[in-house]
Amino acid sequence: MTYRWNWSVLVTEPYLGWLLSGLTWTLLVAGTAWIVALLIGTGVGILRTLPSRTARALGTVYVEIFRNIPLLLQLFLWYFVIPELLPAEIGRWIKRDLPMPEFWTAALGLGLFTAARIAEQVRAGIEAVGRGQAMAAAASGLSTAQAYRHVLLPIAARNVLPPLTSEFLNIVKNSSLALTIGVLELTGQSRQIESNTFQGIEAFTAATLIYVLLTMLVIAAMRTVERATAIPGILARA
Amino acid sequence: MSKFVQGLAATSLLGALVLAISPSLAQGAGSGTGTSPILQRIAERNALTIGHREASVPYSYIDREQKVEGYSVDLCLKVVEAVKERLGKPGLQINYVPINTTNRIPLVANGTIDLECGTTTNTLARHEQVAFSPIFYITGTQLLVKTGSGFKEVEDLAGKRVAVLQGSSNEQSLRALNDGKKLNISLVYAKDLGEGALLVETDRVDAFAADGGQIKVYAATRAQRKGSLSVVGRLLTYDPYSVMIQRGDPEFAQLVSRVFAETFRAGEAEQLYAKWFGPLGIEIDPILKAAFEIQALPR
Repeated sequence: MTYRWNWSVLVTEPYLGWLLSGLTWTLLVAGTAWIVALLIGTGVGILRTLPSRTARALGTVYVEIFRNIPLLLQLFLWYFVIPELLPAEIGRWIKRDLPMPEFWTAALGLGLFTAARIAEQVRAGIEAVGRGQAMAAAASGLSTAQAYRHVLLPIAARNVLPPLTSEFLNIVKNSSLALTIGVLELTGQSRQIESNTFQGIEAFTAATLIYVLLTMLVIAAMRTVERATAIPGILARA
Repeated sequence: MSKFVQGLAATSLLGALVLAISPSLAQGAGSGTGTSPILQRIAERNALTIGHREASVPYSYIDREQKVEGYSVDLCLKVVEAVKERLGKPGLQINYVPINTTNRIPLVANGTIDLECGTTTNTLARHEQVAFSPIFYITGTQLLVKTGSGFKEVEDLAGKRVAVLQGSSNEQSLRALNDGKKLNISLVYAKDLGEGALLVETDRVDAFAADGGQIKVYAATRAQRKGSLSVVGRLLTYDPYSVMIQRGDPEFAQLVSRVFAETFRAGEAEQLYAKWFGPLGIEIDPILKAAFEIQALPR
């Protein structure tokens, strides 16, 4: 091995700036995607547990579509194919006039994909509350909406916190796929550093450590939420 | 006493000298593995490893029959012939390893690959990590645009969107130009040649800046509608291609240089150029022809 090590490349400009800009994009993509995934995932998860057959079918269709197509392919579809299928004017707006089209495509694509996975967890969380609680809510005269709002969802939300942590970690890591449609996030920037300086091993090591740090922060944050929201007696502490 | 010591020292010094020279005397210059670690490992494995690109037509790619071929690969095979002859191993095997722009330099540096046969620009910065063969192709950054778009030079693209390959030398030069001339171009990052061209074809960007030679070939062979893409503009950079080899093995580097010089001198390089680029309707550039002549060092 004739590799010449040079760790100082990581703290010299412009490469340090590139790493930080990569980290910023990773946070932006993962953060935006997480908001999309939580909102849509919760909605679809609830749909799948409603008494209405149509609502359940709708939820199932969403989950099966988004969870059965590889994420990479979904990003390509959103980026390259969908704008071509839309009416020319809208397609052109998405491709050219929308500010940062790559970022929005990546964040939405990743969010919609993760929403399908979160929906499944929310459904499982609601079902785990048990029929007894739902029946008791109905017997006390609560409407379906009230039963969800006051009885089922508050407990289900606590049920799904641990699996949600995994999804949050996945979204941080999957955000690296955004580089395939041109978002220079952390992995993209470390590749950029590699091809500019040929110090690839240093750049990828730095990116790895930043990911590990980031995911450990996510785990710590989610643990704090779990602890703060735990109801004594209902759930065993995670 | 002191004379005796001096004599002893002189004799042992002479002995050491003879010992040091004798292996090269025994084998003669330019045969066997010599002191070359690369030739030694090739002889040990009885195989030489070529790193190739998967889709850099017609330089280095996998064809429909899954065979690795191309202009760069053919030149590397000349080196393989010379290695076979030197090691006296006509049955030497060739292993093909696919590489990309991200892993090619580490794989050469760590000795996984003996010859990197792709489309790598020979730059001084890269000499820090690897060694290079003589130059076998010359190109520079140009622009792939839709035919009839009216764009002629990079200055016409002020305020527009332009695609570049992630981490390419084209990207670096375009960024420098953009900052220097305040063109306010927004760069869009593509992963490979096909994706960059697709961005142009679907109107996501107004132009794709890449190695002129490669986008000319793309426009000639792969454009969705024939003639819908054109290559325009002056050469924005100077990109000479070379074969990469591991650094720190002067003997192997010399063998590679000799093979290339002879290939240039015998006119074989030009024939290979015609073989791969002729069918695409691309004539040899006078600069490249001159480079072949200049690098055809005498014996």
